[in-house]
Amino acid sequence: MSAGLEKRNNKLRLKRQTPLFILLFMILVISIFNKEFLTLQSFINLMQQVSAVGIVALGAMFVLIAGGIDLTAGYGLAMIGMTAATIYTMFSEINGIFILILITLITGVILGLVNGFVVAKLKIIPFIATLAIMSVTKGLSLVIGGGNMVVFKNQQIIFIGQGKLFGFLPVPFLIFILVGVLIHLILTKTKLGLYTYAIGSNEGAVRFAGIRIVNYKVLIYIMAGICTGIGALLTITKIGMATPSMYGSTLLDALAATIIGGTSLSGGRGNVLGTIVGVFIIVVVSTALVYFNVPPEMQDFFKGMVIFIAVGIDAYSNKYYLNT
Amino acid sequence: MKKCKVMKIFLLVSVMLVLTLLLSTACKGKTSPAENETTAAETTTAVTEGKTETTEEKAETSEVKAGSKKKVLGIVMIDLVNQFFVEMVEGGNFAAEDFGVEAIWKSSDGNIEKQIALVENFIEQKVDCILVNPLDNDALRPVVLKASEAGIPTITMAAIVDAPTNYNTFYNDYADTKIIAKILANLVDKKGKVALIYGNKGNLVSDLRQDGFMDGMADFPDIKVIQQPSNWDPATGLKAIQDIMSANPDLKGYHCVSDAVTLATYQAVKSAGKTDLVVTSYDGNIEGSEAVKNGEYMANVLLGSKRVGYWNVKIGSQLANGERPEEHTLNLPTHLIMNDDLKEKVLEWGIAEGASIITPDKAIELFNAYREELGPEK
Repeated sequence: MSAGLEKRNNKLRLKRQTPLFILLFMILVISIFNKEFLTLQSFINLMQQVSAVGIVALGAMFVLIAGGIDLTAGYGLAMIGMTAATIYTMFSEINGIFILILITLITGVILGLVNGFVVAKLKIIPFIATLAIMSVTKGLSLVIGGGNMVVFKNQQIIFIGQGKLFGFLPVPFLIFILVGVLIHLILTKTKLGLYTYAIGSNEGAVRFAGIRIVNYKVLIYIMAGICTGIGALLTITKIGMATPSMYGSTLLDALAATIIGGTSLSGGRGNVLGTIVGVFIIVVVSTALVYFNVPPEMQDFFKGMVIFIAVGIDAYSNKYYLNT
Repeated sequence: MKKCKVMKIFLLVSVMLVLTLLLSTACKGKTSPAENETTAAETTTAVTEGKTETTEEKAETSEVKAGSKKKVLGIVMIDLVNQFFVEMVEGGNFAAEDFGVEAIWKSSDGNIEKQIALVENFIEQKVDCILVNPLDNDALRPVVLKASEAGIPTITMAAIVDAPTNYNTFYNDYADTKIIAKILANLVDKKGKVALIYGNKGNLVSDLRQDGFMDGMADFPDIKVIQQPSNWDPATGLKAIQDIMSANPDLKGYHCVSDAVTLATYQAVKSAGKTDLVVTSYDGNIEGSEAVKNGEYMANVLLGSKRVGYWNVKIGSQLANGERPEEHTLNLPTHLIMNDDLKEKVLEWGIAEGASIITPDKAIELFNAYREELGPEK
């Protein structure tokens, strides 16, 4: 009995590593086809490229584990970036780098607070609620600062997004890893983490246990808001400017990354390491398409197919490991 | 048991739907006689054209007519998120102020069907001139003809749509990018790899600039062009150029279709220490011109998004006030931006015939002076 259980646990552990195997396989394939991929510069690029979307993905994961969803991450990122940059230009005479950091975090918290309030207090379905707020943030990103692009000249600011420590470690990647460790600790060592998993698995049971769900839910959305804020900071400091069109494909990439990384859409399941691997998979796919010289028109198609295959393998292996 | 519940919900929803329908028709019945009196003339035109307008739309029409004596321009944009379009609105609003008209801006959100519907709404509101940034010239033609029948002049911005009362405004996107491509080709000694970062397929402005670039490069068989989209997003553009640079260490230069994106991509170029790349750009923002001045980019094009908005609204206001220029295709003067030493070489190569070449300083001056350049004479 116990031997069988151990065998099953081992299989489960192995199963959890599936995304990692997929990632390693992808890197191997690209390296075989194009040796340029095995240079330090391309790994530096990769580390820099995963950072902003990775932090947003960690926030998205937090909400997904609690059984919700946050669709405001994309346009929210543009809105936060525009707000911070606009306020930054108002204080141009003082060293605005701290203002920039502070405003991105505060705006992130406010965004999370609004999301959390609407979802937890007004009890509107997360998908609908954050869809509406997504549209609001899109509108705000155009109104704030008249929708005009703000360009940063301060090299200290660019350093946050473009700088490298010891010549190889991108600063944004360091921030990404720090946020990852922090979220891992919150999820595994704190009450908030415990309740996040519990709310996602069985909200009714948590409620019956007499826990004030509303407060925790708001807190969970604030966590996601802060992550969007840090994502915005890393994005504007990377591109050296803020513009309303910088939402890009952040939201979909972040959600896809979390799901590839094993986070369950129905809540209760997900972990930091999986999400980090998921983000790498998403970024490596689009990088690979450039290395393979795939015509641009076909790129979305291939990206979709790879995500589909990654999730498919995961789902299939899930069934396989649990049934044997 | 479960089936029963679903049935009940279904019944409830259908009853509510029927009630809403009944209520809405009843309301229309009540208000329409009064409406018909006030807008009798409009009703007859509507009938002769065989249209079925709802009462709400008519109410809106009379509001537009009664509320302001100013001429009204209805402007349908591709979207209102892209930096270029955002700035067009800013410039356009100044023109509306200078020429004493009211400008109503609408976004198609990149959707041709929405665009057609927006133009139709403007026809029904009987605005004095309709400006539209077509997403698809052929698909838009019927509705432009419809505006023509209704006696409303139209402007298709950056596109040709053939209709009797339609004017086409052009900014030389294609021709200017073609020259830029030839400059880039000459600067990399007519061989090797260059990259093009475009906007996105199906976007009119992006397509014009992409076609211009590829046709310019067609004269240089030894040049290989690597293309990547940016979706007009600086971060996406930055990732694209990072990946292209690592996958092709022998890359010699690149052109990017929009200054906002070029600026971001150049952060990656600096970070990778590849400042010897030949970089060209488009739009002629202040930052873009400064980059030419300090040698980061080799060339740029002064289109000036605000200028474009200003100029289009200016022409729109002239049409709204009954002026009818003879020529139906109008060109906004654009300028190539480069330093004097490159200008000499370009003239020597003979690849910029007919184009105006200005220095970065002049471009910066013109970028914000569009009100003086194109505004009403004082």
